[in-house]
Amino acid sequence: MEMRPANWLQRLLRTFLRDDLLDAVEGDLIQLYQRRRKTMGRLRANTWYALNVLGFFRPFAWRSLETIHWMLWFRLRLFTRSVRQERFITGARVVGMAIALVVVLTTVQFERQHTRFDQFLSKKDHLYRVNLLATFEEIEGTELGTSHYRMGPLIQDIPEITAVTRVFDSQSGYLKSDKKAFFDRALFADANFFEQFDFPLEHGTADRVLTQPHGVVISSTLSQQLFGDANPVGKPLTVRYGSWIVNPESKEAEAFVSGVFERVPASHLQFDLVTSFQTPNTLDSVKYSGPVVSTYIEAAPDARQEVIESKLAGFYPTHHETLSDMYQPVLQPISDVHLGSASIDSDPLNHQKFDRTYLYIFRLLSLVILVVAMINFIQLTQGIQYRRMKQDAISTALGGSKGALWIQTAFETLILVSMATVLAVLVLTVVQPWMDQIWGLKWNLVALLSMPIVVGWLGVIVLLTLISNVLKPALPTLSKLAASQTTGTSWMSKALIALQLSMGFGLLAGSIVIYRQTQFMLDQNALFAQPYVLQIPMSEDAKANFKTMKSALQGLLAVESVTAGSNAFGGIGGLDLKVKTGGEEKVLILPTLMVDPDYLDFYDIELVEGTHFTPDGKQEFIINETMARQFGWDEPIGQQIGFAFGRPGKVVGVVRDFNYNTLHKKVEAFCFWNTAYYRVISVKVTGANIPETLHAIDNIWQEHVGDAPFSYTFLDDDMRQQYQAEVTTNTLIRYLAGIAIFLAFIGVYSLTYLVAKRRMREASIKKVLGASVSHLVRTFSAPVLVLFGLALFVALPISIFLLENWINTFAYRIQWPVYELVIGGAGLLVVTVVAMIVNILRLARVNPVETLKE
Amino acid sequence: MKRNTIGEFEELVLLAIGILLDDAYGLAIMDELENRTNRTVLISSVHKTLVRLEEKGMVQSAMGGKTAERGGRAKKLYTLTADGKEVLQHVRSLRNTMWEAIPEGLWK
Repeated sequence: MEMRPANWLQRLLRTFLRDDLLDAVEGDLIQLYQRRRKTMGRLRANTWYALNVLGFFRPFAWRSLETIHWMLWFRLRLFTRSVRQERFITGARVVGMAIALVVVLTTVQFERQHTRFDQFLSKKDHLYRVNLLATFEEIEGTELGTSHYRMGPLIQDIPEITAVTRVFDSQSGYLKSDKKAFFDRALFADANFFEQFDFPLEHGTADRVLTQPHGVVISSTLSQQLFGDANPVGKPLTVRYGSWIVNPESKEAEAFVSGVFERVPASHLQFDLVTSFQTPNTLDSVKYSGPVVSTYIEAAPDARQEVIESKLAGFYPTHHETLSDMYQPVLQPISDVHLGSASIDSDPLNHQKFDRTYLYIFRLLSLVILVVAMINFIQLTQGIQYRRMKQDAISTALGGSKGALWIQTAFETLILVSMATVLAVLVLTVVQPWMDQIWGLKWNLVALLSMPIVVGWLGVIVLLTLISNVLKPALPTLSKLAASQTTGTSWMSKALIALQLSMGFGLLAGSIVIYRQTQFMLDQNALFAQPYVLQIPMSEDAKANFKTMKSALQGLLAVESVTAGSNAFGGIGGLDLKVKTGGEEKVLILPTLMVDPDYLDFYDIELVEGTHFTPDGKQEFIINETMARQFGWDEPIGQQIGFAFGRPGKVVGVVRDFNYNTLHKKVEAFCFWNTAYYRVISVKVTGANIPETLHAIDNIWQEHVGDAPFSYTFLDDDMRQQYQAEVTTNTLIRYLAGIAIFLAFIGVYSLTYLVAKRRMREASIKKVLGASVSHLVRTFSAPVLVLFGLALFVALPISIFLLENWINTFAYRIQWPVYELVIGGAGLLVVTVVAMIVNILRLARVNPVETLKE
Repeated sequence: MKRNTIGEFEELVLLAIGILLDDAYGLAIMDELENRTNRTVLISSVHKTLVRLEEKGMVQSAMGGKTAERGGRAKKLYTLTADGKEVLQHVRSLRNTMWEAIPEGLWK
């Protein structure tokens, strides 16, 4: 038998060697190869052959550029011709891939924006937040993002802990020097705060700025407002903190600037001002109140999280007699705080927190969309290849290599995907401001096109080329071609269609379920999402004058009612309460809202037992049903309950359970206390002429409060903030579902369009032989319907499994939406069938004379 | 451009073509050179030199017959042109005159 070198090596030589040398060189090399095969094995002979081929990769032997240029031009002609013949199909290929790219890039950017939180911290691998995990029966499993002020110094003795930092959020207030500047959020922190969290400092050094009493570190923005460009370090000013807990006498405190920090990077901590815990007479109430500070520890480099946690476990029994064995401190790595705190209550210092699960959902959905778009692309490529079959068969018969057909596919894929890329970049540029507005997505396209993305995208191109070529219809021989016979569709491409349809169904089902669940969570808050309820944060002056201001506000015609409470819903923290249950007194941290007596009326909270607060009553508590049940109070009215550091009080009423914090969690024990620690005024106004009403409220505000700014939010906006992750997901999912259905539609439509074109002649012959239109429709649609059934069969169990897992993570969840899923499946069926029927009708209606005369 | 200066390897290739006469193609030339010089000669270098010599007009080529041994590829057969022969002779006479100019005493 004749011995030849490996085929691909021969082809390699032919790609670059100039034509006039080909005979001479290849002949010589084959001769050499055969000589070597007599003395050595195939592998070594081939290796020698390969080395010889490489030896010819020298300029003297290269094809001239002119030839290459001509080949390119030829390929371009082939390409433009098929584009011109199939404008619709080309458009569908480009648009599909562009949509997929837009979705993928958006998801990548979204994910990047959220995973970047706290990544700038140089100690991020060793910093942990100490959370409290409730271990006592009544609220077991609840995790708090906050802890007791007293815990910090005590756990410092554990050898694996090298540093402890505590942070307290004292909310808004103002600074005064010659000018006055208001801030949204001030933090109190231990002296080593800037050493542990290396937020960049503009003036001052990290180890010194918080060591002196009365020193405040301010943002460069505040510094600019108060002192202009001058270095403010050492300048005196007065501060007024917003939190009653910091400053019970509501006095302005003397202070001086000890440092200036630059803009705060992406972090769960966001602030305008930091004051040292060293400052005297400020934090007495924080020090003795419940878990209101966030405690962070730095672990020794080799310390393991579990080891520290096991040592912390013994902390409460030893050091905190009143709270013995009720809480267990647990550690949360700092880079997990932003994305891993969805189920954590009492989490005041967690800016824009997001739920990691939603990131996974987006990632999965965009991947599915990319795959659907790729399948579309491949199928349409095949369709085009069918159309070109005659041309390709002839060119192969005339000695054109199969490699040339590969190259042609690769070339076309490259051009089409490049066009899609340009289109996607254009679309992204246009919609960017809008995405920023809805989802807070900001990006720089250049930065987005990083190495992994470019490589991934090139991978997609290679994959598209490979699969298109592998699935390419087998070329008929010339004799078959002459007889107008074509080869059938391969089972692989049928499987692809089924896969595409099942993914389409999965996307649709997933979108419906996720949309329903997120919508459900938003609707559950309808109670508090009443329109036209203003939430106005109170300054100390406002608190002092609340009664007079309230009656003035109620005097306005457009104001329906006014009330006040210690927190807005969603941000309700725990308070140390002393409760008498089963004959013994316990101190428990329970979510408590300190309210104005008419608060329950204002929010329509239903009382099931007992009475409302009396207008001038003191130490009255109204609890929810869960609390009554958990404490085993058969007769809740009159039970003893009170602030742990104050006088005891009594339960006067019980309200029906309602969701006051987050729907990720079950309703827990909760109570209202009628005491005047208000921080937020709620004003219900009529919907008519809101600007004028706001103006009137502002006037009353200035009259009673002085120059602190009148700022307000609408309650439904706040709720939307609280459920930011759900709102974002809810809107994104609608677009993704739309995109998925659109892609499935253009996929099915273009495919049947091409098939119809291909089988025109067959249909005509059938008609000539007497087939009716309905018979034709049945014959041609049956295989597609079978595929559709197959797709449903595959998609249904998988999507139900995945969705059920997700749904089960919620304490409050929707009924399994059988109805919607049926509608969804039916919708997809209709879309598919319509796409198919349109084309098959065209096929069935064809005039046989027209088709058959050629 | 015609030049009548050539390098050593070019000279050897021209000589090999002369020796092989009717059957001077790439591989045969390579074999001839390897046998006579006991050096390894790269086939690509041989072809490169042949291309250059043809450009210089010292050899001319014609396609020979196809053989199965060569995978159905034709041989490209080279012959010396008048210029080629002239260059060889020029080189040889140059060497000869220079040899003769060496004083007898050197070899003693």
